[in-house]
Parts: sequence; C-alpha cells; structure tokens
Amino acid sequence: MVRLVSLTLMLGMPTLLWTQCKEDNGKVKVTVIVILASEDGTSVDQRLTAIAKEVQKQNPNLTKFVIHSQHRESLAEKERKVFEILEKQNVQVVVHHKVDPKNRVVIAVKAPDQGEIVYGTSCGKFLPIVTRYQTKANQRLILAVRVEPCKD
Amino acid sequence: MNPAHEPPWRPDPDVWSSYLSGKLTDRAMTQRIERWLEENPAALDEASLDRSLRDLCELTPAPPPSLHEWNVAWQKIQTRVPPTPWWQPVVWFAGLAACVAFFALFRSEPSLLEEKPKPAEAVANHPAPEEVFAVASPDEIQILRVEGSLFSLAVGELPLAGLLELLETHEFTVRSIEPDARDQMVPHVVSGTPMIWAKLVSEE
Repeated sequence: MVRLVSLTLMLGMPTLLWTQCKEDNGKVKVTVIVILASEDGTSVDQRLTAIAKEVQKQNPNLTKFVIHSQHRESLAEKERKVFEILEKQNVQVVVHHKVDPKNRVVIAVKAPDQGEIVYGTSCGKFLPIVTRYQTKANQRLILAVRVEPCKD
Repeated sequence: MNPAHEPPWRPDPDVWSSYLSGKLTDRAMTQRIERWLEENPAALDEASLDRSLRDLCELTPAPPPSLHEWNVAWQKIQTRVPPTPWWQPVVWFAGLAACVAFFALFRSEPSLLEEKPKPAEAVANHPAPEEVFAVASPDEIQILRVEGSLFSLAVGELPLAGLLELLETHEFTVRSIEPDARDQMVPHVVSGTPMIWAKLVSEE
C-alpha cells in the first residue's frame, strides 16, 4: 500500500506541476494598486512620486498619497476577477485579449462609481484611474493597473 | 419427621418408562422396581397393560410414506426456506480476498508485525537530529494581496516592487468607456501621461 501511494505521488506530482506551469504560461498577470489620496497632510509614498505629480496637475489639493493595498492575480483570456479593495468596494478586471504581436494586452476595468473602461496597454507599466469614490475618511480612491509579463 | 407420613416410593417416570420398554440397565433399580411391583398390584396391572399396548403396536406397524408423499413434503420445506441473498457470495469472496491480501502483505513486510518502540523509547534510542526549517525562495512565493504600505518582505516579491512607473502616451489606447449607470458620468482621459479621471462635482 505504501509503495502504491509513493508510486502515485511520484507520477502524479510532476504531472500536476507541469499542468500548473502550463496554465500559468497562458495567463496574464494583473496587478492592482489601491492608492488613497487626501488633502490632509503632505506625505507621499516614495513609490508614488510619479503618479502624485501627475494627479496634482489635475487637482493640486490632493497632497497626501499612500498605498492602501496591493493585489495581483493571473488571469486567463476572458476570465473575470473581482478584487475586493476597501469599504465593500471592488474592482472588476477582465482580460479581453492576451498579449498580441505589438506587445499589447486589452483589458477591461470596472472601478467604483463609474462604468467599464476597455483599453489596450503595454506590459509592465501602470495606468492611473482616479475614481470619484471617497472613503469614510474623505480619501480619494485611485487605482493603478498593470499587466505582465512583457515579451523580450 | 415421621416415616409413616412419607408418600410411598414410586419409580421416576423416566425410569419407569425405561423399565417398561426393557431398556433399564441399572440392575439395582430393576430389582427395586420388581420388589415394588410385588407389593403394588395396581402397578403390576399398569405394567401388563403397557406391555400389551407395545405388543399391539409391533403387530400393526404404520406403513412408511410413499415417494410421492416424501416429494410433497420436501417441496413444502423448500418453499418455506428463505432464498440466499445475492450479496452473500460476494461478502464471502471479499472476506476471503481480504484475508489473502492481509497475509500476503505481512509476509512481504514482516516489519509491520514488529512492535514499534514507544515514542519515549524511540527518542532515547535514536535522538532526532535538530530540525532544519526549510526557507522558501522568492520564486516559490507568490503574493496575491498585501494590505498597507509595505516596502519590502522577508521573502517573496510585492506586486509593486519599486517605483510605480506610468504608461506613456504611445503605450496606451482607449477602446471604450461606458458611462456610469447612476448618473451617466463618463470619465475623461487625461492627455500627456495617460490617466483616467472621474471628476467630482467640485472639480467640474
């Protein structure tokens, strides 16, 4: 019996791992960074300096930028993922097309308090989405969305 | 106790029946019964009547049942015997197979029959080496969700490892933007560094 179980594991585990790797290879890794911006304070997370600079061009009153949470998920084509972010709000992401010969991925993002946005994007960089949603602490919800991996 | 009040002796019914049928082998009991008969004429008459009945039975034996009568009786017996359940042979076969497998297993692995030392004895005889805790490499850890503004982890890689790098204009193309279902608000695309902006009422 012990030999039978060992044999099953020896044959089954590599098959399982191979299958898992094969599935991951066909997926797009989606990263969602949840940022909260507010007018109280001036601290900016050093990783957010670029996005803070661009946001402040539109609204200089937003002076404090912090990362609330970070999410990452590997999605297959047409697969929908709902990221629960904060205060019972969520972000829905669907990969419409995997990376094409131009190194673009088409995804759809549905953020709180707005309709769905479908866009094509290069890999490895973030698109900021400044939403209308404000937390109970009067912080503005900003999302930054990235897809990976990129082709060499 | 006064012996005059005791009931007169009489042989036990089984012993008496054995005597009448001539099968009593106890000689002392036989002699005692014969003395008792001499003293009890009524008992002697009873014995004579029994012998007469036996002789009569021997002279008029009942005829044995015919083959047809035996067959009828056998069929009646068969109809009253419950049938054997279908699973009974399966259970027997499974039990037999389990026994064969059991003995085959212990024949091939005799160590299984050996009594294993108790944990304390095992530790005393073979002290366990110090356990080495394996540390996962970064490749083996995948972070799916991180709360808070962490900058680094002991192991694994944060979704945002370094600076948050933004897309450039040529790296981004809007396909469609749906209006909000509640108020039909449509966010606009900020030119220059691509950014989607949903204006608040105070920003309009």
